[in-house]
Amino acid sequence: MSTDTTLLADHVCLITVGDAAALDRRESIAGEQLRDALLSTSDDDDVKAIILAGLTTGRFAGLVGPQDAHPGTRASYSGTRGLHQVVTYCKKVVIAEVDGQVGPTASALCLAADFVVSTSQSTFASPFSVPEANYPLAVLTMRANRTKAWMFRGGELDARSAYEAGFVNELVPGKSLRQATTDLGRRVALMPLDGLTVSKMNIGAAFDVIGVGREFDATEASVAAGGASW
Amino acid sequence: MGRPRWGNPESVASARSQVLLDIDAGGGIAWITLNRPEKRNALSVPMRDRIADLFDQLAIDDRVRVIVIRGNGPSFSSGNEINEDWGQRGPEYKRFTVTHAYRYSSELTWGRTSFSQVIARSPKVVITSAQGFCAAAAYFLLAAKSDLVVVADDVKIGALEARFLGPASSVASLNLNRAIGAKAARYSGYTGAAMNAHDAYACGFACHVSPLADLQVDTARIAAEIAARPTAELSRLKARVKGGDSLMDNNVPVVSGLLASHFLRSHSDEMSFWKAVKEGGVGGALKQDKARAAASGGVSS
Repeated sequence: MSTDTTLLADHVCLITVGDAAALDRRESIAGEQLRDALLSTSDDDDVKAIILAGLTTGRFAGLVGPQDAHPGTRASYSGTRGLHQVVTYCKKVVIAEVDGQVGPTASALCLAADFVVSTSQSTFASPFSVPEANYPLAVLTMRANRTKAWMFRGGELDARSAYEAGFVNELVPGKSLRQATTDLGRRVALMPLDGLTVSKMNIGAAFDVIGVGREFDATEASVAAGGASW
Repeated sequence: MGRPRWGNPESVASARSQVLLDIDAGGGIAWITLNRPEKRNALSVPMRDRIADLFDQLAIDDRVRVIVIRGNGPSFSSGNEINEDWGQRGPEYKRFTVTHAYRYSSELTWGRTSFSQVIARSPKVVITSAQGFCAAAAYFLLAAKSDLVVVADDVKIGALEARFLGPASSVASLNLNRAIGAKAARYSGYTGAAMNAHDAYACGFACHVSPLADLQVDTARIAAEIAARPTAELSRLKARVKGGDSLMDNNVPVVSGLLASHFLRSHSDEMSFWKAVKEGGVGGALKQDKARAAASGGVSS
């Protein structure tokens, strides 16, 4: 099932991932489709906020990594124009919408997103089995020791704990989820386009200062070197 | 030719029994136990040297995947020993010099082979298990350099040395700012106030709070849970932490604090800590400090 893009409200775009489990399988086409949807939407001047939905997968069965030996797969996930960097440095505000069990790749995408709105029964797999889960960004988001505890203990974080750790911005009942993300998107849409753009430019520069970009570069190099070992 | 290590004959001879090592080879866990409970596990220079040596040894021990640091007695550790000549001034030194202070502070914090750096850069997962006081150097050089901190519900964590020794090294530690948040790090250093277990968990410093009676069992459970993960996976995660910390300059230590500590003098309005120590020992000085704070309407932790 492919990634779908629709306009949800004025200046608010919805991108729905067709098969989030395919991201955990590191299928090249799934990564490319989502990345391309994000790139084209972020260059649309009519869009200020992007809601990223369809991120839940069901119980995580383990990452599959040998495909990383293929340069195309590495490019679509780990590269400078790969999925994780495109979300992290997206020109528009990205809101991750979560309802259910989030696998490691989608967890890493939630980490990269600007906001995460989640239902209270959702769970987040540790993103750190994904090479592109950015450690400096995680430290900035949820602080160093929480990051390391999640990293080394592994396992799922329930939505309440994720909220308390600063990983999730808002907890809502399931039936209100789409309304909550749309409302947040609309609030962002009330902001001036150029103001948002400059803010996004600035946060990207700040990320680079604290090592987010260098971590991505190091990850790309290690994935290229290690390939199947992930 | 190696330099002689600092410490008097008694403190050097005691270090081995004051820092114990037990290796659970089957479980993949090494336990380093501070064993000087009569002094609240205050860390002498030889004790810190022994901890650094043990970390070096465990770094290349393939049986070990997790290192736990804990303390015997009512407190994890009150910090560095301050009854010994400050910085273990050797007989060759007639006076405190910048050169002397440089060696002392670089061996403690900012040399890449120093006591705290060897903990921060360990290739093994490091857990601090703390009860009672986890103060001063035990806070910012030991617990803060660990990957995980498990605390008992009676814990008191803080830069208590800032009450009387001048600069709190915790304030400007990037690592600590990123562990507990910038405001909390400054509050900790500028007030000398201690975090309780709730604060430590809420600000993200501790990953788990146990009733005091359960601390060891809970620490062992968490250590075993981590040690059960594949060695290659843990090594890869530690490498990522080390690389990420390097990118963020997390382990770049505070240079000026300890260097300056050697030359600080109390203002005439302030209690002279060293004079008070000479008169009544550390305990007497702390009591005097508490009494002064109470008399002025302030709060001393």
